[in-house]
This record gives sequence, C-alpha cells and structure tokens, in this order.
Amino acid sequence: MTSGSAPPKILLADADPASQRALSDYFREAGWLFETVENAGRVADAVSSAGFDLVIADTTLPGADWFTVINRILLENPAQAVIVLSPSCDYGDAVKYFRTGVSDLVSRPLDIPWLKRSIHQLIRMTRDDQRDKQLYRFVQNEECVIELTARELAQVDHVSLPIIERLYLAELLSQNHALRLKVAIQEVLTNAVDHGNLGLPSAWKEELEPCGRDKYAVMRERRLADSTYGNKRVWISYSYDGAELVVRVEDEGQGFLNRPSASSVSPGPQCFGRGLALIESAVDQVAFEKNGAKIILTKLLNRSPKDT
Amino acid sequence: MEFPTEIIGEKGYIKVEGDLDTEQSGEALRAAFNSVYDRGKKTIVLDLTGVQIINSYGIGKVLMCYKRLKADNGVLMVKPLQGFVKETFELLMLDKLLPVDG
Repeated sequence: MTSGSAPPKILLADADPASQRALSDYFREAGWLFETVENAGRVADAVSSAGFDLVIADTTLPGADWFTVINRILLENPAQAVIVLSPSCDYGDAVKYFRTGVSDLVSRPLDIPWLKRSIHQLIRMTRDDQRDKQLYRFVQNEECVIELTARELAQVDHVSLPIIERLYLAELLSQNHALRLKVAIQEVLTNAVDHGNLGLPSAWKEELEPCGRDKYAVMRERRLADSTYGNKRVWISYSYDGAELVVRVEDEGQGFLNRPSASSVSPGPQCFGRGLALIESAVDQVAFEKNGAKIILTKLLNRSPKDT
Repeated sequence: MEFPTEIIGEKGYIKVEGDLDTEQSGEALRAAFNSVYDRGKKTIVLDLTGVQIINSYGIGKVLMCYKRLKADNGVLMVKPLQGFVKETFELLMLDKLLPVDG
C-alpha cells in the first residue's frame, strides 16, 4: 500500500480495451497513479514488488489461473484491496472469490459508475485502515468476552478474533504468526464444541457409517440439533496488555485428564490427535484449568520490529 | 464443492482448492479420492499448492486417504508443499510419511 499523503496507486489488469481506457481516464482525472499489466502471470509479482492501494483483476486476462494469483496476493497481504472483474459470475464462483478475501466482484457487462463508486470507497477505506494501523500501535489494553452456544459456533466456518488482524496490521504480529494463531484458536474452539460440549470422541473420525460419512460427522450433526448438547455454551475471551495476548476458551463439558504433548505425536497413521501440536506451535504457553474444559493461550508480542 | 481430478498414466491426481479445514472440504477430498481410487489407481497425488490453511481436521482426512491406500499396498504422494501447509506437515512429521511427486 502507498502512504497516506501520496496519491493512491492502482494496478489495472484488464483484458477489455474499452473498460481499460475508461478506468485509465478516470484515474488520470482523479490524479491517481496506476499501472497496467497485460498478463495475469505478472500480477502477483507486480503487487509484491510495488505496493498498490487497489488491484483490479479481470479474470479473462490470460496468463495464469486467477484463483491461484489472487490467493497468493491475499496470502502475502490479507489487507490488499482487490476487485475482481468477471465475465459472468455464478454463485459458486462468487463464493470462491469472496472466501479468498477479495473486496468486491463485478460481473460484465460493467456498470462503470458502480465500479467507480466501489473503487473510490475502497481507496478511502484503505487509507483509513492505514491510519488505524498506526494508531493501534499505541493501544495498551483491550479486553473482550464473547458467549456463544455450541450450535451458534458450529454455524460459523471460521472464527477469527479481530484483534489478531489489528495486531497484524499494526505490525505487532507477523503474517505467519497471525495465520498460526487463527488456526490455533479455531482448533481450541473446535475442541470446546466437539469434544467439550458435544462429547464426540476423536476415534469416531475413523469409523465410517453406511452413508459413507464418518461417524464423527454424523453424530456431530445429530448432537448439534439436540438442545441438550447444542445449547451448551462456550466462552471466548481475550486480553491484550501491550506485551502479550491471552486468549481463554471455556466450554461446559467434563474436560479430560490426559493430553498428549506435541513432542509425543508420532508419524503413525492415526487420523486424529494433532490439534494440540498445532495449538502449541502457535503460542508461547498453553495452560489448562477445570480438567481441560478451559484452555488459556498466551502469545508474547514484540512491540518493535515484527517477529518472524 | 468439488476438487478436480486427473489420471495420468498410473497415477491419479487430486487438486485441492481453498482451505482444508471444514467438513465440506473434507467431504470433497473424500469424494475426489474415491473417484480416483475406484478407477483402480493405487498411486494418488494430492496437489495442496492451492491450500492456504490446513487444520487437524484436514490432516485427518489426508491421513484417511493414506491409510486406505496403504492397506491396499498403494501410495499417497503430495506435490511439493509450500507455506503454512509445508510448515504444518513438517511440524507433525507428515513430510516423512508422504513422498513428494515431482
């Protein structure tokens, strides 16, 4: 991304000469900088080497698989604003692109005024984000408590605590660590819902039902629908004091007595039991209370250069 | 959700797209694996280069494929891994279990 005082800079990868001309004229009139790319295979490298406030990606531009290109761009910078221009977008494609993290998707024939409004809005949001990023470096304390039922949590594919994104944008957490933390928290929540509140044993993952699905998935669906299980609560809380991020997750299950440590995970073909290793690899400390029904993760943060 | 498959010679290839961390993606992997396996291929290659995130659930599904092939004297391979998936496989020592294709 460019700095707040410089004019916005846009990367335009558009196969259609008419829309490319219309957008180029618009950028010139607005006093914005822009570069054009004629080959999809060069887009990701261009974004990596020079910061852009916005990438406009026409998926008919040949040269690479656009899904792979966009995945790479957003993996390197989840905050990168991307507008996808698609020839005719069906629902499946739209879901696929939005799940990668694109900001907007516009199908052809292009509504140019609509596209211009979207571009303008994204540029403004990007600049606002940069100011927020700078501000967040001075935040000394933040706390939050969330209470959800097992059924409510199960309806969400991914739970990502906003504070992780803020810490990443403030460069207090590296991209790699932010990703690891997200996965670790998802593992902890899955543990709380599936093993804690729903009482599902991992071994059921290796038992197939006549329908072809594993017993774990079948019983999970049944127990989520059963209010005895599905209404059990999970509490998620986090606190940040400028030096460390502490995340606590507690369920209403019975907890457990024995936990294998990461060092004891063997390369054997067991199809379960690796969640704890993923959790432990993402944080500096893992603690358990209430026989394991409460898990506390602590991640120390480097407040100067971001750790790697 | 469907993962593309391809048969090239004696190998079957499965290209996993998106994250491998939900039941939906796990079922897509299972369906793709079955479609290749049922065509008699005992060397199956998973292409995880498009996968951003894999968690314990996704790893479990990969290992289910591994076990099924192993029981039939087959081999599960992976395309060269990268990024978070590569680090995760190395952490869990799965890189010792699954040979790399190419």
